[in-house]
Amino acid sequence: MTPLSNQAFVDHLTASVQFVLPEVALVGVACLLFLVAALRCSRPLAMVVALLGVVGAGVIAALVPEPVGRFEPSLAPIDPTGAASFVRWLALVAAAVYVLLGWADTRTDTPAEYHACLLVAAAGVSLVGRANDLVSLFLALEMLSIPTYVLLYLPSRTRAGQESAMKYFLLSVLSSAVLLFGFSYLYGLAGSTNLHVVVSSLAAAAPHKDLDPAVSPLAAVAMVLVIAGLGFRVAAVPFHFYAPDVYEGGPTGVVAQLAFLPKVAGFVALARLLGVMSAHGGGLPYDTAHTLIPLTLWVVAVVTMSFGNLLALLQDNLKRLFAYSGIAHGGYMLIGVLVACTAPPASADQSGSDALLFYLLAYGLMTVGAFAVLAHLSGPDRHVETVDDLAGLGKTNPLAAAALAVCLFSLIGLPLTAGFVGKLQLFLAAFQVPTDTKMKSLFQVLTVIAVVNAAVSAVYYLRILGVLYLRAPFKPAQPTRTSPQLVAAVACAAATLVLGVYPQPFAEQTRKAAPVVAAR
Amino acid sequence: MLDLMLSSTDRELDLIQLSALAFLPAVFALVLLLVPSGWKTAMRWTAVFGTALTLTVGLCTLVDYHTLLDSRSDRTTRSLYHPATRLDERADAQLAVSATGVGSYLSDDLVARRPWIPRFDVDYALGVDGISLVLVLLTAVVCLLAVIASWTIETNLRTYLILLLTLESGVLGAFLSLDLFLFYVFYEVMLLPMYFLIGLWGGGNRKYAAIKFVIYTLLGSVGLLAAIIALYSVNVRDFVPQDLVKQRAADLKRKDPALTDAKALQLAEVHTFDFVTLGKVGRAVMLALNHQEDRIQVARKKEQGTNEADLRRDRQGTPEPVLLLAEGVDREAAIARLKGQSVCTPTFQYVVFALLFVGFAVKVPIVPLHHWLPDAHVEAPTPISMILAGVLLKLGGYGLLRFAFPLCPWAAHQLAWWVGLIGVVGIVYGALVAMGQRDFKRLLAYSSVSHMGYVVLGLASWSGGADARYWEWAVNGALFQMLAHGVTASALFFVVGVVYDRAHHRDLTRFGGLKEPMPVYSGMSAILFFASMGLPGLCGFVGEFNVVLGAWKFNWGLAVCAILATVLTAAYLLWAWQRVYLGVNPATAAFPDVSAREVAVLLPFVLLSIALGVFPSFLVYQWAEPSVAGWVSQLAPLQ
Repeated sequence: MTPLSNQAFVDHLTASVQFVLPEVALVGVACLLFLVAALRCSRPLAMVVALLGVVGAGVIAALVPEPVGRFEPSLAPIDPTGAASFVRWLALVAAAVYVLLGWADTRTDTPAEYHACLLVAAAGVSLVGRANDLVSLFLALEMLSIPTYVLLYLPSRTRAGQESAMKYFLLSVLSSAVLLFGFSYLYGLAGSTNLHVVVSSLAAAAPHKDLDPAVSPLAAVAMVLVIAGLGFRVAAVPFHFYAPDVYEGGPTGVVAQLAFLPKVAGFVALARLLGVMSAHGGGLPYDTAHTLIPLTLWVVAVVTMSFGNLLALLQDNLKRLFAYSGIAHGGYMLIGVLVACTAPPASADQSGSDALLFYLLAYGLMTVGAFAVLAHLSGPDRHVETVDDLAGLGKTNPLAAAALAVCLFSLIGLPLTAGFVGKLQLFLAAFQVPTDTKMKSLFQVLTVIAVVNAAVSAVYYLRILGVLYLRAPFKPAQPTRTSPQLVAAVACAAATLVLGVYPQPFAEQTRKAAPVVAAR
Repeated sequence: MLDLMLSSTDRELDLIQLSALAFLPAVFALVLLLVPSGWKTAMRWTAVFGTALTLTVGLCTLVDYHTLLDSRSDRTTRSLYHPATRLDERADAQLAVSATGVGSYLSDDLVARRPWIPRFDVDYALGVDGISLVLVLLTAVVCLLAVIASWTIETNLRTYLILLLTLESGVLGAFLSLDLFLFYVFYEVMLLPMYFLIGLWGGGNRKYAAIKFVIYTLLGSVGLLAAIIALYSVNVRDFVPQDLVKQRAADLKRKDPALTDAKALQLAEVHTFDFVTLGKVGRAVMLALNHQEDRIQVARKKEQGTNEADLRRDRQGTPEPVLLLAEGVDREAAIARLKGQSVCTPTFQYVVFALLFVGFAVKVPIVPLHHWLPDAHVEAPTPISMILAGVLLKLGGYGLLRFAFPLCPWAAHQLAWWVGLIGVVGIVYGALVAMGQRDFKRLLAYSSVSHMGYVVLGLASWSGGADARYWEWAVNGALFQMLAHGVTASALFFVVGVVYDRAHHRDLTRFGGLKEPMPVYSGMSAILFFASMGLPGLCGFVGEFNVVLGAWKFNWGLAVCAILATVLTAAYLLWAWQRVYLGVNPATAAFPDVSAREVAVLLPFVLLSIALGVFPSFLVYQWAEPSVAGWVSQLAPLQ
């Protein structure tokens, strides 16, 4: 019996359209932009159309009610509950910021294509948050990747740019293949592509906690492949090699996307595949009863954050530095995934996945804010490549320097910024994992490693801060111009502060978005 | 009487008062943004006005606090100590009130608590007692005088003053916070202004010094953060008002309706950043680890006449009870729950104590973590050196006194001798290295290391039982030493600044003969030198004397070393005095004497160091001592 002969399945497939209306709108506007691009489309026009598209999608998302009640987790390919709406808003806000950022990259003759690709990528991220089927999840991930190839290639007229586009393309395709390979195992084990069915049947198949390995070796292999495939998206060590080169060669606005959107998609997809971040949890297939997967994630997290921070210490190129810093932050976020999917808290106080969502938001604000400042500063007359190029920015461009400084404070994790609250949540979640599981006190050790890493990272961020404010400028002050990038940077910096001073409403949202999956 | 004071209009009064104390400098920093950029004098006066107003609010708080102490004292004893005026009792009362719901906050107790981030149980909790008030007033005075000392700063004046005022806000907030999270926030808020103040207005090697300062401090705060995370993971449900536990149980049940009431109540956990509650856990753990858990008792309803003394009389012959568990807690279950937690293991206690100790030791600074201090002092501009020596170092001592010892008393007691030894090593090492310095500021920096060693030694002089009063003396001495060092060290850094403005170098071997051209200056600095040396009748003596007195009972070997080190102190200070002021030196003969502005900075310091030396008990001890007595009375009986 094929799924399509199952009437209930077909009904749910059809009904799923109502859960993706904003994404449809985004893709529709993108198609419109592609059409317009065939004619002549000026830079402001493309930007305004793209912004209107994002706002329109936001209006649809806010106003059109979703018949959540009619959603059946084991049948529907789209899941509008759990983290879905949080991820959607994250993607929409990010898209709006990226449209502003794109101003710097669209000086060439392809502004419409640029913005169209951007909208499709945002729709892809949003879909990752609500995919409830291996197929829809994979399609959503590809919806993010394919426009990114184009985006990397579009404004690149240099060899380095083309090299980075090609590098990203090849490695991304490879990682997709690995991911698909893992998916095929999962399908083979569960007999269904539905995520809920996959997770709950895996969880149900491992009731013999005392038999080790009770979880099927195939399930472990599948998950290792999935971690490898998604590890590329989140730039986890050892799948991070592309990041510094691609960041260095890519256009700034696109790099800002690359630093954030794949991380959101990768982490959300990973969390969903591990059985969390869904309102209809089917149990945890890989909890601490079996140490293989938790230990794998533990090692990847530790290596990722330590490696990222240590290599960032050695960088002079700003984009490479932020690439390694992004790798390190990916390591922190892995803590959230690890805690959420392996060790459900006894009292539902800190769950890991809400900490992860909060950190994603905070990380997005501070990293995109920093890239926005770089995009604002670099222009045809000025290149901001190395740390030294920022010398004396505090005197020449006080506003941009202040925005960058706030983002850096947040990246360091100083209090009253979003980065601090995010780190604190992650560390608290990890520290509160009980020590009587098979992982013993490894989670506490992980917290200590992470805290030390946070201190190490302060060194290279402080170096930028020192250059910003303590060095004499190379060039005399230029007349300050306001650009869309600067608006984006200031908005990100302001939001970073708001999140740091009053995180309560956002923390409530992330908590709502990431319901705790009870232990069996 | 109390109820009359609680009319609805002044319900928020102490919240407003304490917040004003912490945030007034920051508000004036914002006001500075509005001053037109050319009006430099207006900016300076704004900053003076802001810091002076902060000092005024601080003095008002002192009057309020004294009234509070007075209201509970029956004047039959020499001490104003009363259990109900202890900070932890007042904080507990506030917690009990806020646990029942919003709307009826007490306001006459100088403790304010509001939820800030309820998601992580973070409260905006401020409170004041004798210990913090001493340092708050010191901060306010030093910052005011530092602003006056900054009159000669011309470059980027606005930014400079804004950073300075932000720094003051951070320090005051850290001294006032009752919540570890809030404390950490303020603690870090100080870091960046200091970084920029040293890095932008410092001397030739300023960038190196600034980054060194930040990295050392950040390493310390990382330890602090790890300790805070560990402490937050402790389930404190048996130490807080039980209404809170019922609320948590109700939350759990709402999330998972399948739970029964009893099960939910059993599962409910309470986590907190409130250090008063965490201190109770620490004390309970100490008793449990010393196999004295039968002394852990449930608090009774506070009624007229029943207090710990009565209870002690009731239970004549049985071990002295310690009321730690909250009212209405099942004692056996609570102790079993406590023993089941990781907090009740020696490892946890040692590790957290070590993290807190190292975190604050960097700030104190304790040898061998002192390395940033000489560089920071040498490179910082004069007013910033004043604040650094006078105020920031005190945060380390305050942190040890307020957090490290009360939160992990068991480990503190086990390691007391080692901590005392580290203190004495600091005293002797600091003095010896100071003697070898040629740079005036560097000499003073090492003298700070030496003087702050007394603070550490005083805290570590743990004597329990009948000897607890010796420890009380030592802790009183440590507190006074912080105040005295704050006054003399800031003043001496300004003394260096004055001569630097004239000679443009700080090389001790090239000075000399300053007494002839600058008699007023020399006289004032002589008093400050002698005060720093610890001459009786001046402020430096009181603290060191008390510390050594208490330390003698604890371990006479350490005390003897500390006493002998005063000879070294006298040696390097007198030698420095001789090299700078005596003799004849044509290079300094034309120096003008101190200006009116310089006198305005120096004179308060001189007067303070004399007054504190002559009337220590009238000026400080009478209101600071009750808090120290309360502090010791909590820890000493646990042994």
